[in-house]
Formats: sequence, C-alpha cells, structure tokens
Amino acid sequence: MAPRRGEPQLPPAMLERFEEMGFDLSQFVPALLRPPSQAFRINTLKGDREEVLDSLSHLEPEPCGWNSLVFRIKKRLKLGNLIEHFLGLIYAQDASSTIPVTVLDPQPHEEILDMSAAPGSKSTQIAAAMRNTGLLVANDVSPGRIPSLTGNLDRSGALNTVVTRLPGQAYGYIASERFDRVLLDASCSSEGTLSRSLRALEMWSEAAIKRLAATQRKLIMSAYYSLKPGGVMVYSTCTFAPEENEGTVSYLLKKFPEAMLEPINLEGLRTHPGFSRWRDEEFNPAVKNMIRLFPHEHDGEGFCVARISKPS
Amino acid sequence: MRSKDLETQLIERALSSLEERFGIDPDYFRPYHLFARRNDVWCCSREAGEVELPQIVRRGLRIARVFEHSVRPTTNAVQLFGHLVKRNRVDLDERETNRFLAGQTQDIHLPELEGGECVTGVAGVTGGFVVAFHKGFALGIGLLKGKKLKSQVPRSRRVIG
Repeated sequence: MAPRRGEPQLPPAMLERFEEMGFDLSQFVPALLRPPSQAFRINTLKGDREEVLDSLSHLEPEPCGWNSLVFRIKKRLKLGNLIEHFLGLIYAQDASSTIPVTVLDPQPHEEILDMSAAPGSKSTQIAAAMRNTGLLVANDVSPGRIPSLTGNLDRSGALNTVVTRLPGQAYGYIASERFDRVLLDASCSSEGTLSRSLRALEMWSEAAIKRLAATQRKLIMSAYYSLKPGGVMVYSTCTFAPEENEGTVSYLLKKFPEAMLEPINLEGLRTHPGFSRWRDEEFNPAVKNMIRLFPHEHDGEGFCVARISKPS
Repeated sequence: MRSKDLETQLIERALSSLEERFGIDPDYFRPYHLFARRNDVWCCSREAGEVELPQIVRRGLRIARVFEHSVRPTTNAVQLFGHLVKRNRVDLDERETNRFLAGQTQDIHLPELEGGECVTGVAGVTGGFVVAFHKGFALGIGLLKGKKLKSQVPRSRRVIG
C-alpha cells in the first residue's frame, strides 16, 4: 500500500507482519499514524472529581467509559500548560495507557510494585487508587528516566512511593513473594504508539523484537516470583508483536502452569482476544483472555494487556 | 549530638514553623513517616518509610527546606496540604497567577498590609514566606517583601506562555 503524501513510510517488514496479523492495512496504518484524541486522568490525591471537571468544563471532557476518572477531549491543546496540570489535578496520558492500572485494580494499604515505572503515568495512577496508603515501589532501571518519574510523582502528590533504580529482573530475588500486586508495563517495540513518536521506527526490526521478547521473559518471571500467593499481576505492552505479548505470557504459563490468566471486562471498550498462534508458534490457549486494542477500532493507542493471578 | 537527635530537631523545627506561620496542625502529619536528609524534611507513608530495598533513590515527598532563620515549605507539599493553611495566604487573580506560575516577581495589592480590611477572609499576612492561592487551589510558595511577591516555583515546574 502506497503511503499518503506527508505520511511516514513504515518498514516493509513491519507492514508484512501487520498483514500476517490479519489487519486491513488500508484502515489500520492511517489509524496507527493518526494521533488519537487527547485524554487526561483526574488525580484524586489532589482534587475532587466533580471540582476538577467543573474547572475543565470549557474543554467539554467526555468520559471514556471503563474508568470514571479518565476523559477524552476533542480540542487539541497543550494540556501541560493548563493550571490544572501544574496543580497536579490532572495527568495527561493516552486513554489506552490508563487500562493496565484499571485492570490491576490497586487497593489501599497494599504493597505494589511497578517494575518499569518511568515516566510515572501508571505509578501516579496506582498511588491515587491506593489513596496514598501502603507501599508503592516505583522502579526503573534507567538513570536517565528517573527524573521524569520523580517529577511526576511530586506533581501528583504521591506519599506512599519508594523509587528504586534496579534491573526489574532483580525483584524476583530481592523481594520474593512480597507484593500484593505487580505491574509490568514492559519496554517493548512500541508499535502501538507511532502516532505519538516515530522514534520507535529507528529501533524497529525483527531482531529487536526477539531481543525485547527475551528480556520480557526474564522480567515476567521476576514479576511472578515477586508476587505473594494470592496476588495479581498485570503484564502490558504498547506493541502488536505477538512475540512480545502472547509469546511472553505463554512462556510464563509454561514455567508456572498454576498461574491463571484471568478474563478482562472493561465497559465500553472494543477489544480482541490474544492471538492463538503466530507463524509456527502455537500459544497457550489461555492467552485468549488477554486483550488487544487496535487504533482503527478504538480512540487510543495500540495496547495489549494480561491479568495473571498466583494461586494462594 | 547524635545524628538522630539532629534529625528530630530538624523535623520539629519544620513542623513548628508550619504551625506558627501557616497554622498547619502538626497532628496532620501523625499518620505519616517524617525524616530529614541534610536540611530537607521528607514525608511518606509509614510502609514506605520502613521498607528496606537496595538502590532506593528516594521515599515520598520533600515537604520543607530548613534554613538557618526560616523554613520554606516546598511547592509540591503546599499543593498537597494547602487546604490546611490558615495564615499567610495570598489570593491571586488570573493575571497574577500566570506571573506566579512563570516564576516572576510582581507587585501585589494586599489591603491587609496597608491596614485595610482583610479581603482574603484569612487574617494575618506578614512579610516572609506565604502560600499563593487561585480559585481556592494552593499554587505554591511565594516570598513576600513589602508589596513584592517573589514566586518560589522551581524552574522545572514553571509554566510559561
């Protein structure tokens, strides 16, 4: 398919893969490159939902459905320049990226690990759901990404958070069976966020996907080890690559057959089940419980989410 | 003197200053864990204060910096605890708020300082650190000298334009 004028050209290998996944490229590619509606999440650590909505009524926010604190706006503006943003009353983030924490469903007084936390959109969402109680460990291995994480935690008023700078793989050893919930929003090939930044294209290749999938397998094992019996973890990526989604989750299920992949039901969200196979690889049948979001069917970036529980 | 005693002193100085200058009840911080690093006082949940992990970068939120003759609450703390402020609060209109968020120093009109009637509804504005408000929301800390209000919003948080 020829790109439209001014539209970036996606690598042929990427387009071939998308076709193999069953996407109609004439619909899928333009939607992938078109920015979705801007969205924000109300930060209840700083403000009351109705008060903030009243203050932002001129933007005509529309509720997203699956989370009563997430809203889309049709106007395009720099949300970061709003006084509500300065005050930490809102967090500007794509609607899709609020889904992993919504699925994780953090509760007050729990101990929760966000294994790959920078820049902090999901950590701040977790801290708010926990009402600043208990313990949230916001970890990121990259020193260069820590300032954005701490800056966003500060602006959001998070008091229950400890920031650590460790490889996520370490948590399975140093905090074995410690956490009630774990979020692993893994570094990925970011195919689902090309509308926001084309930087992912610079690093994209089949070899990079394999490398990332290998790291994700180590991380998901570590996340599962760090989970208490009876605990819940969420694994998410913003990519379509089955190796990084169903492949990673199937790997965990092979190593821990007792791990349970739970169904996910979110109101008003059009999702697809995880792929049952990719090329020569047949995945664990339970991956049908994962959800996939596609930009041509949903006003948000591409995402894939799995909710996994550890038996008591 | 042991370092723990110094830390306790620093925390007590910060809390008593928050109470004296802004009317913030120290009991508000009772459910939290407070600790000091150098001249900064930090606040976090008890669980976050107790956890031991390698490579901890930080815990919770820095709430105040203690100087030799004064204590300055942080912008982040004031935005979180601002609703507790009873004294030394200054209400800004939209234009003043924009200048404040941009980190500027500006002249402000405060009848309280000129012996006039208190317009903010909150008694007691004196020179020194004050909390700036807009539409009921605490924006951050300003330094009031005469009629000049100098914004203390850190560079990284400033909003320009």
